[in-house]
Amino acid sequence: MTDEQLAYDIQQGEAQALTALIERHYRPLLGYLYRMTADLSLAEDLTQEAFLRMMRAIGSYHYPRPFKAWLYAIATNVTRDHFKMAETRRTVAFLDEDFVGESDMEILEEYKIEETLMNLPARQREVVLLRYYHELSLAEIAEVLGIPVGTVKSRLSIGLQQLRGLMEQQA
Amino acid sequence: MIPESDLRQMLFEDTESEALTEAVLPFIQQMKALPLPEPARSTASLIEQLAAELPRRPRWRFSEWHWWLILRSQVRIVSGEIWLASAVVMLCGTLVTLASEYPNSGGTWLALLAPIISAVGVAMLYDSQQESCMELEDASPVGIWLLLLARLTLVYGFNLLLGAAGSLSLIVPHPQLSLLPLMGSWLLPMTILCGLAFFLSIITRSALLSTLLCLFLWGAVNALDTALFSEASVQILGLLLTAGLIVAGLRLVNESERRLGAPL
Repeated sequence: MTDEQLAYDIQQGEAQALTALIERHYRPLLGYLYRMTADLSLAEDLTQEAFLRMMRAIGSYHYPRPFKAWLYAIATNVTRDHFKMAETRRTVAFLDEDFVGESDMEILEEYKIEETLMNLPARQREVVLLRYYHELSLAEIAEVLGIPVGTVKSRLSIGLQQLRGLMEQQA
Repeated sequence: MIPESDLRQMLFEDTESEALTEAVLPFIQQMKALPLPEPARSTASLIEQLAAELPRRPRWRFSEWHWWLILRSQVRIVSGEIWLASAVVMLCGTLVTLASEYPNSGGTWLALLAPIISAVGVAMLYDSQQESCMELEDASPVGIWLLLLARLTLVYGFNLLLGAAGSLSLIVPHPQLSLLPLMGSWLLPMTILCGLAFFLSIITRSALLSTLLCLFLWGAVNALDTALFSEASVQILGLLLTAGLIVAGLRLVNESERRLGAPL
């Protein structure tokens, strides 16, 4: 079943649809929020909050609107609200146990990739992740972030240019 | 995993720069290969918490199962006399035709009786004298138009089955008859007359008046031209007319229910 069909079934009160949707999207959403916050524990809190807000707003979901974009929009707002209220700076602080590579080389490579990503400004990081890691379309990203498609393209372009700069620095 | 060529294409469309595309492509590929983090917490407790937020009164939605339940509920509502009368008349028509020495497709008693007995049954579906329906309609979460449509489906379907059974039983002893033309001789007239009877019963509020009008019309058609319904244009027009009459009848009922809070 598609995400949209599952969301519709949740609106009808079907618990199995809820379970299926959570199992499908929990880890990917956690991954997105983790790479936005660099804090796995915080990312889990935010992920759970995002799903809770999704459930409370499920009545406002209109089938067959793309569900993933809607969910990620909620998650993005949860993250923004957290940082506004907490007034914390986002710091790059990956812990060793955050990396799941099997060998030291793999762990190092993962760390370098994550580090590079975290050195991107948040606005560019989120569009790069949503576009290339989570494979959302430009229109879906625009919906997630609440910005025009043109702005998405502009941020993507800037973000990729900055990535090139960061890679050259590392080299 | 998206193929490299597709990823390259995506990057190029986003950057409009081949140089930038080639420069960041390796990084993007490595980024896409990053594993998802392992959650420290089980999703079971989250699911349990969210399940408490599930909508408690689901929106009523129509499905095949609901239609089946509605149909089943209306079987008892439709008067028993309708089922009995239809069965008896169809049986008589079939027996008389069987007894005929040389019946032909258009001239069987079945072809004559099936349309009118079906129309009579349909005309009796909506009668302002039928108090027993109204309580059920008032208590039902579905509109009266849907209940009427269900009854119409039941009566028409029942007569259709009877007619088909009668037709099948005729072709065995009378090999000069073939099934399709035989069924065609009563099927379209039955459909049109049922639609007309339904509509007339709603606007006249009288099963008797609706029946008499249909009887008169059917008599006139048979007296004038029994081959009328074999014309393709007549068949198409007939079906469109039937659909229009049924829709118009249901809308009238629905409109009346909304205005008055009760059937006509």
